[in-house]
Amino acid sequence: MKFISKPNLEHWLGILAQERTLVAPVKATVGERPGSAAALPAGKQSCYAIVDGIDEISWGFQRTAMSAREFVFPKSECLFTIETDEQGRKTVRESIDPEERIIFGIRPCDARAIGVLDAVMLQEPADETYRQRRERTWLIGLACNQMWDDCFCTSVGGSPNSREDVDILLTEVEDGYAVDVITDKGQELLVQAVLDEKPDLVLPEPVLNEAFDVPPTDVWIDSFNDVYWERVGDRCLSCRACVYVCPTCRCFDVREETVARPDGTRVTRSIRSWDSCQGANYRMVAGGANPRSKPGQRTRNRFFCKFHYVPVTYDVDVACVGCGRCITACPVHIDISEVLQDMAQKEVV
Amino acid sequence: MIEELRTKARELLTDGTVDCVIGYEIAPRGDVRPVFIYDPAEVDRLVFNSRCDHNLVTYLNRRNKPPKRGAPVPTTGIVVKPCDAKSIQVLLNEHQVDRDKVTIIGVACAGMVDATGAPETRCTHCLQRTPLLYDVLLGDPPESVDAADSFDDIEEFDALPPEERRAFWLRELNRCIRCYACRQACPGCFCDVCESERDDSLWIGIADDIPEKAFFHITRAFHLAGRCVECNACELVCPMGIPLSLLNRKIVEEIEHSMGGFRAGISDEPTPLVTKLTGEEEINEVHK
Amino acid sequence: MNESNTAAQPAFEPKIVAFMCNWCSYAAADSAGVARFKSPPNVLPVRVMCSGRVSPELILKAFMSGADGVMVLGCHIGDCHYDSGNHRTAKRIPLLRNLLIYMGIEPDRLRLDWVSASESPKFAQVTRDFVDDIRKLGPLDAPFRVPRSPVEGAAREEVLHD
Repeated sequence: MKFISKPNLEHWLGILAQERTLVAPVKATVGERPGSAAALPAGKQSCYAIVDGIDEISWGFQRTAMSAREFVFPKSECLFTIETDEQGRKTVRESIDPEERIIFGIRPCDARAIGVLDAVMLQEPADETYRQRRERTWLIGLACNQMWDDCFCTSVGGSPNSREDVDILLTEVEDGYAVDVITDKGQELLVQAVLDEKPDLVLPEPVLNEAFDVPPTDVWIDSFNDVYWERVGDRCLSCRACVYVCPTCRCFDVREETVARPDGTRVTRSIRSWDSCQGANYRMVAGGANPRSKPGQRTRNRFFCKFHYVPVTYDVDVACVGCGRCITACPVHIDISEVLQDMAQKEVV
Repeated sequence: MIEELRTKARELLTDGTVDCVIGYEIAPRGDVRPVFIYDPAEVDRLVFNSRCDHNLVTYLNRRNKPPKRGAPVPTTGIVVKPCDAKSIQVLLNEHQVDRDKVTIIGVACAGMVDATGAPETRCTHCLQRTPLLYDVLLGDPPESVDAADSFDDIEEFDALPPEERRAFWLRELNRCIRCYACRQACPGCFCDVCESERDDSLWIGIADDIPEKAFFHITRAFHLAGRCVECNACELVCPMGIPLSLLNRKIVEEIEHSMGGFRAGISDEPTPLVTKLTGEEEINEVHK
Repeated sequence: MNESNTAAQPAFEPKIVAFMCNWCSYAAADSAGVARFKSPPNVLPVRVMCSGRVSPELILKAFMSGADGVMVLGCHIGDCHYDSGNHRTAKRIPLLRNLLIYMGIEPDRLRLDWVSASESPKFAQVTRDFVDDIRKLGPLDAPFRVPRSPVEGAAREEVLHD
């Protein structure tokens, strides 16, 4: 089995940070305010960010507050621009992201989530902007040695040390990491790394949380009009935090914004930005009708999308990877695992 | 006190005074969260302890309209702490809530604590132990109050050099994801369509850049002038941990200093920023 | 050394947006023009019916759109065409200004003043002074003028003609 010592890993990452763009988990900076007694819970303490050097990396992180989704699907991006010159001639420029990004320390659930995004965004006709960025992204996975407080990946078909969807998987062992090379892309990346062979290396078994059943499709279909969803929605603030921290959510809004310049030229930018089905007016249509005007309808949509709509429409078993971020982020503690267990207890009529 | 609360809730639901009681319960994982009790048989879910830090008054903004055309406006019982009761006062002053449709279950409060057990910063500034507004009052107010009404943290921040203040807010705004959780949790934010979220991008668009985020937070703070009751719901719900009270309380301090000591939610007077014209307004100097 | 590379950079000329009420300050601006009092060309006038109409959104939007300084000019207290509009301005603008200072923006970038219709020399003076002050402060940057998400490279360029 291949092995990399901690110093060799740091050295290799340092090279990658210099030559390309390295994204790694870092400690989230919290505003230091005078007299502040508030402490961020462990689930909000780190996030993925571009690092210039390895000393910025937060090695002891559990799970980041925000997922790595923003590096393959940015929070907002310019899709194309239209420049209009003084004579009215228009030039369209498509926006291409040339950066090569290596995401180090991505957890198996987050990598699986990128697999879900791939299934949705790359289904023909593929989203070109996403496809180009995805081709220039490498994923160096870091297996979890345990499941944390809100994690439930094993209940949705994942695992804390899954080899799927990453280019390389690292597992922490004594003095360093076991290296599992999964793809050719990963192999190419390791050219500058110093690896050892340790044939007797035994990988630790991760400590698991108790798993629970996820209800089958029929249960979802039958429960659509159940008052249960209104009750879940009572508490919901429609604040969208769940969507923004989720690694598989991918709804977006596109708008053209034009800026006129004093010299008579104009530039129109087409901007794509994250959107959320939890926003009150997400489903409002021209004319003012809104089929999801109540919070309960919107909360119901989120669960249905993850466990029914996406699996039915795309080549994906389930669109939730069990990372538990929505559980940590929800200010009123709407708990996806609780909802799933409630649903699993309902009988199929 | 919890037994009293459950008894009262059972009574209100059984005799039809209210359709629903909004209070707090313990979630399966152990956290406190809001609960809506419709059935008198479920009142045993209600609790009250020092982790009940949500401001439930924001839910009243949804319940002040009939659910369907022709249906009556729902009646609500709501559990409030002293800070939350101030929110109700602000909504009453602005004619957003019908007093007859709300039964206010006030609870005496010794202050809330955060997940580590330390007193929440806002509670160290609060001198109110019982709500000013209630239909029924539960619990005995604690004897001594270990709090001081001050703006020390605001003044300390204000005393920093401008470059540091700018760098601080740039860093914080950078983390903002414009999820609008702060706005949704705030009882004072009840506009049908928020200016920052217009489909025609009149003021700001959808780009996730700092100018847009600065616009949203400055405008929201300004719109709360004379209306913010310092319940801290905005900061508590922020998924990125941004210290929003440091911004919103600055406005509270400004209004207090420049408008004769006014604080929101104490009296039946709405915000003096738009209503009080003494006739003696002149251009004010910067007050520091 | 190549001569063309050492051409001087143009000096910073501030862009100012001035919200002026129709009845007093806009009239003053008009008469200042007729009387040929020297007012700086940096000022973009925006006429509103009353200074009380000027909301924080308008001022912030002006900063976001490229203004380095914003002025709000209204009638003197007691002279407002709509009675109390300028009273509201008198309370609103200092509050916004203090909030912007708290965010680390220079205090002098937002100015409120009263200019009556007959005070055209004052209009010229006030705008000249403001432009000079902003010129010294330099262009506005954070948080309103932070570089936006850039357009990366260009894979495809298509030229369309109207």
